[in-house]
Amino acid sequence: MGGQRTGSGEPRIDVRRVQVGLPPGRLESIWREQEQFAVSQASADLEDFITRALKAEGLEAQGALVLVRHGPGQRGLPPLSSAGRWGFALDLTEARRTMDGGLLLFAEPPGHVRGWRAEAGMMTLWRTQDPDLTELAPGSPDRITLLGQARALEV
Amino acid sequence: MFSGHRRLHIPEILASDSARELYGLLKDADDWTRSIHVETGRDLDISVRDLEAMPAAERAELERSLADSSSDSLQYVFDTVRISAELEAGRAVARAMQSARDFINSRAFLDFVAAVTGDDRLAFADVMATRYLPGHFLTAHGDENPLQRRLYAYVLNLTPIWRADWGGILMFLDDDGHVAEGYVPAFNALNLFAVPQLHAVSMVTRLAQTPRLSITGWIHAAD
Repeated sequence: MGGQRTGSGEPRIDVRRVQVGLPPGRLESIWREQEQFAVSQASADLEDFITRALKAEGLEAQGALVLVRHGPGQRGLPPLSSAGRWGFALDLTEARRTMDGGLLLFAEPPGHVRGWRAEAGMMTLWRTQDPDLTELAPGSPDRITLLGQARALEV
Repeated sequence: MFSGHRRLHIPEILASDSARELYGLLKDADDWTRSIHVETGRDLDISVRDLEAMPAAERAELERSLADSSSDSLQYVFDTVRISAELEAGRAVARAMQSARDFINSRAFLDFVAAVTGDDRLAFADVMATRYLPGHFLTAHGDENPLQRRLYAYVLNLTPIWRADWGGILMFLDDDGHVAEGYVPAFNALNLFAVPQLHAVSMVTRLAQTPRLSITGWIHAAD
């Protein structure tokens, strides 16, 4: 009865989570609405903040930084090409309950996932595959995330 | 493998013909009940047929009031046929649903679960069919119910094709509310886990092109 059994093993995805805190000051942006979320450019202050946070991890930002805002009923992330590099997401809004959705989920074949709810000031770093962001539940607060790519700092 | 985290995903649990037959039955079933948690001690079970027969404005008002009234940590919305409960109440269910109940309660199945879990206390299972449509979900809970002596929960997924971004993922949560492990619904796969264990079903998204159909329930120790 039953085929090959899976589950309950050690994580097979390459993900790091680092609490870096929230950048000082108010987060003010001009948002551009897209089908599943709104996007905006990161301010210079936010770029400085993430540069320091990445440096502490031996990384430097590569390419454009994108602020992403999800409201109830919205989901997904803009495409990233993180093959061979690190992708990162910095949670910029308050900690969220699991039931609010907006979970960062990574696929672990075959048919398994592993993921995290948002926590203010938490930076998630990953390699080899991009995560999905699950749909926000009705009535949940917006989720704002700084998204980008990074590579190892050259010594 | 079960002993580590006390959960297991077992693909291809039924003969494929049986799984397809069961899927066909659930897909065509028309006696679903929408089960909604309103607030502590107040759950609403309403016939989906009756719900769909309501005038649109009345139905929208009901759905709005339900959404506003519940702030409990355990919330859910999904469709169900409570097979065991219906049979115990002397009400008829479709023959194939009764067969599913009989199979889950067969000595062969219970012995299989006993072998997987190493637990010889298994006495019987209760069985229900569930259907998750876009917007349906089940928030985190542990399934514990000491009065009913639940030992294990099981979910037999029966939707032939499912994508992770359609939601409906059976998620096991750690103490911080993160997803320690999640099982994407897979046709004819049995998910089995010990009770209590904090878990949730993520909301099925509007992308889902088909309902998430399952046979599910708990396996109990003898009374």
